Amino acid sequence: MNKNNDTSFQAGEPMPAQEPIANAETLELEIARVSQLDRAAAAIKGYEWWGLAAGVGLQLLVLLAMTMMGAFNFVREGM
Amino acid sequence: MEKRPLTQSMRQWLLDQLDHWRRAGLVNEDQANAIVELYETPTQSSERHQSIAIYILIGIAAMFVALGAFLCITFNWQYLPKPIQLFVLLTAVAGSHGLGFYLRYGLKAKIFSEFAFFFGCLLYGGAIALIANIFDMHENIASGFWWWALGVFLLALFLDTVLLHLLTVTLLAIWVGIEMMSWRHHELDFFELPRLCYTLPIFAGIGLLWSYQKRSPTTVGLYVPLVAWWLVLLPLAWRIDDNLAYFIGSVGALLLIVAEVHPEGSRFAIPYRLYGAILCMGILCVLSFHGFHRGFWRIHMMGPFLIQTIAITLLSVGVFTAAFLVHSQRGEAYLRPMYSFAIRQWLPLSMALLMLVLALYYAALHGMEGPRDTMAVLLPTALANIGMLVLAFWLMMFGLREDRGFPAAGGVVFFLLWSVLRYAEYFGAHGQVLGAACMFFACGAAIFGFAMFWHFRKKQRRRSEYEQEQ
Repeated sequence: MNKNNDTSFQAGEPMPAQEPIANAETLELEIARVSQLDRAAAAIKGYEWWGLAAGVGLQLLVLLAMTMMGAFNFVREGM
Repeated sequence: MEKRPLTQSMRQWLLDQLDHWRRAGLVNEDQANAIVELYETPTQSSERHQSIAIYILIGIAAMFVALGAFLCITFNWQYLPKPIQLFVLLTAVAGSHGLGFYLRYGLKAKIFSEFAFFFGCLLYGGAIALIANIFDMHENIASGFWWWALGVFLLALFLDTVLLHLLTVTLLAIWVGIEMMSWRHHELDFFELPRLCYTLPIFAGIGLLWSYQKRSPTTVGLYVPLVAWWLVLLPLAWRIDDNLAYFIGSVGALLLIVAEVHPEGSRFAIPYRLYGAILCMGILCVLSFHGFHRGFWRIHMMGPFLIQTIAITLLSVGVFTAAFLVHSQRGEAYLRPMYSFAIRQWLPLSMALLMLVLALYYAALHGMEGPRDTMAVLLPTALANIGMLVLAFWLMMFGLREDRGFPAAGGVVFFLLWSVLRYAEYFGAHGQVLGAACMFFACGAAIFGFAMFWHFRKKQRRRSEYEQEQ
């Protein structure tokens, strides 16, 4: 059991001293977690241009669709 | 690889610890240097802080320019023919985003590109409103905010700052508010579901994933209140507004449970804990008044009232159980012992239980004539007061445990709030000055005692650390 994370001490007692992570398995888990996050960040970064283009495209598409819908209603009511 | 951000104090801590690890033989010189190399240097850190100030200034400037542009357009807007109006709107949005692309990929000016995109998103929202105005499309105002938020959200996911997330969250909050509040007055047809803004959890889920992946607790702090806002409005959309106070308190307890699911010392837990504590304390403040309970008896629809109470409690228990199971299955038992995992949850679970008990107590007394007297409301009043005090002291002890001032100060503020409220309730009207003075003396002494306790505890910790190093 790692004493660092044991919060079972009572109020008023001194907190157990912080110790460095001395367990190889713990370190491996942490490294795996961090590298997984880095890989995910790199993957997203690779698609940045396309993502931004899709966002801008969507905005323009929404405005065009609103315009088309409005124009269609306008013509229909006019007739 | 991009260097990770590190504050000056964190850097100092890391250097001290590395020195300690090196002397203990856990890491060698090369490994220690490699670890330090992972993080930004003090110069880079101070440059980053300067960049934040520049971000804020440029953001404000972009907002003023957007406001000026809106005013310029609206000044002569009605005299322009409709096709010209539409052309101006589309060109303004496309031009602003085009500028963003040019700044980002042409001039490599990332900061400025973020604000060009932000400016473009503001224009996009303005364009939605103006096009709707041109063609008299005013049937559903809320959907305009949804489409605005969707366009901004997609850009926010691929940019680096929280600026567009802030805009997205604001728009989604307005959308949820308008949609769910206006739905309250709608008569439901057979087999018709109420409009509960079903896409909000998807937005918030993706936003939270982005925040964790980018390691940005600030962005978590934007999406957490949005989810809480949506949860609080759910009963209103179903038109169940009997004793909404317990439901809001239960949402606060749920946020506290989620906060304590995070690893100890995690910065991502802070927003959940902050908003959870504020919600719980806000509701307990109201419930702690004796007079409030006496006018709080009416439950119009018992079935929905009970379902609402039990559903939010089951959600809290489900979140706790799921987190517990995931942690045990991942084999992280030595990382975070189950005992410590469970013991950290005692207060959040107690808060959830308190809200459940109070709601069930009123449900049990429903229809009785007798309980409207003073004695019957004594129990919920006393429980709410105990809840306030326990929450305040839990926050103080939490601050002590993690050696952080903000939660401890929050606990002290909550304790002071409780004492002021009790003064207003019991001594305010009768002018019993001496009684109030005694109460404030007792509060002052309690807080002074806490400060001394913290001080001595810190000294003791430092001494034990020093002895270990020797």
